[in-house]
Amino acid sequence: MLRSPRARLLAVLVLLCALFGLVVWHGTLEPAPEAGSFPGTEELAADYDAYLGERVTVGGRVVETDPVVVTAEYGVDESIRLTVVGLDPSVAVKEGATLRVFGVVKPDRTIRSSNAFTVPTSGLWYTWTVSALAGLWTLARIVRRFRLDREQWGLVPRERSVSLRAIVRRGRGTSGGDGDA
Amino acid sequence: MAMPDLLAHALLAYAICTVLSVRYDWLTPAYVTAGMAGAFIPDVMKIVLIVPDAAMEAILGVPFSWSGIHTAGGALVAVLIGAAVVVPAERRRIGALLGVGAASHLLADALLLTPSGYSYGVLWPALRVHPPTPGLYLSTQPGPTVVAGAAALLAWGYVRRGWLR
Repeated sequence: MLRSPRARLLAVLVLLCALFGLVVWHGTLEPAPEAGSFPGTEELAADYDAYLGERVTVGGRVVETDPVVVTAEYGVDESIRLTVVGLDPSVAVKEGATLRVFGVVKPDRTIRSSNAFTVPTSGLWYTWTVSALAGLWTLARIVRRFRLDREQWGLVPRERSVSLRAIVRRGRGTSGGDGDA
Repeated sequence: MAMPDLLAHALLAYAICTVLSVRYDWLTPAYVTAGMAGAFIPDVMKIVLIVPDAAMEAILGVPFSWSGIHTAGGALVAVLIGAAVVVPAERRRIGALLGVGAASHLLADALLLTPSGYSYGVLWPALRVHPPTPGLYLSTQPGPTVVAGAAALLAWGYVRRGWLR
């Protein structure tokens, strides 16, 4: 079933359409607090007053600390300013940090926090750097341990892995012969 | 939604798949690598940081949410795409390992700390619910990566170097 390259290509296209369908469907989902899915910044920005008294989850960069004000982003480069009150004293609010809040919507763009915590800005840089390293590590392993079967148009595990140096040499055309016996 | 950094996910997938290779002779390092690649699948949704949902909706004229990829349903379709990309004889094994990697990522993310105490639609579209989370860690904490790294090191030592045997 589905062995020819053409059939597989068609399958990939069909699957991409399915993935697109899922992503569009996911975009239609409304908040469902009874299922643990709470409204967020986007909903508040669209119609703040509709959510008065509702519990929401928002997150944003701290721009003021007394009172605590965050800029919560949504859409494309849009943001709303929200004042957060009722924070537990143990929450260390510093300008520039990201504050994530679960709380009740009050009038005047104010959220009364039930539970909140901060994420330091440096934490986000850490995540990105380390994630990039992980990507490179995995990519290197794939390149070393798989090869492209030109007849079948697909990746195949190699019998024996190849060193990165050998692959670079091969790419530069300076090495002769097939390295992966 | 933040998530444990991808190194933690890759190390976790490495550890799980390396341990599985004790049970399955055919599970060579190439297949472990497929498991690691699977761990990246749910975070394809990070494209949202470059092209936000709202931008896609404006361009396409339909609702759009990249985080649909970061669910059981989205990951399953992506795994099937990965399985179609390898030669047919390898499809079942590679597909299974991509699935193990993707599942481990989704599960690890479901344990993240959130302000509401609920995680995300991990089982969507089968289930709409956002399960409660034990809130074990934040993606920005090095702790999970250290633990995953230790697990990977021990798995490597035990399976590939015969430690403790």
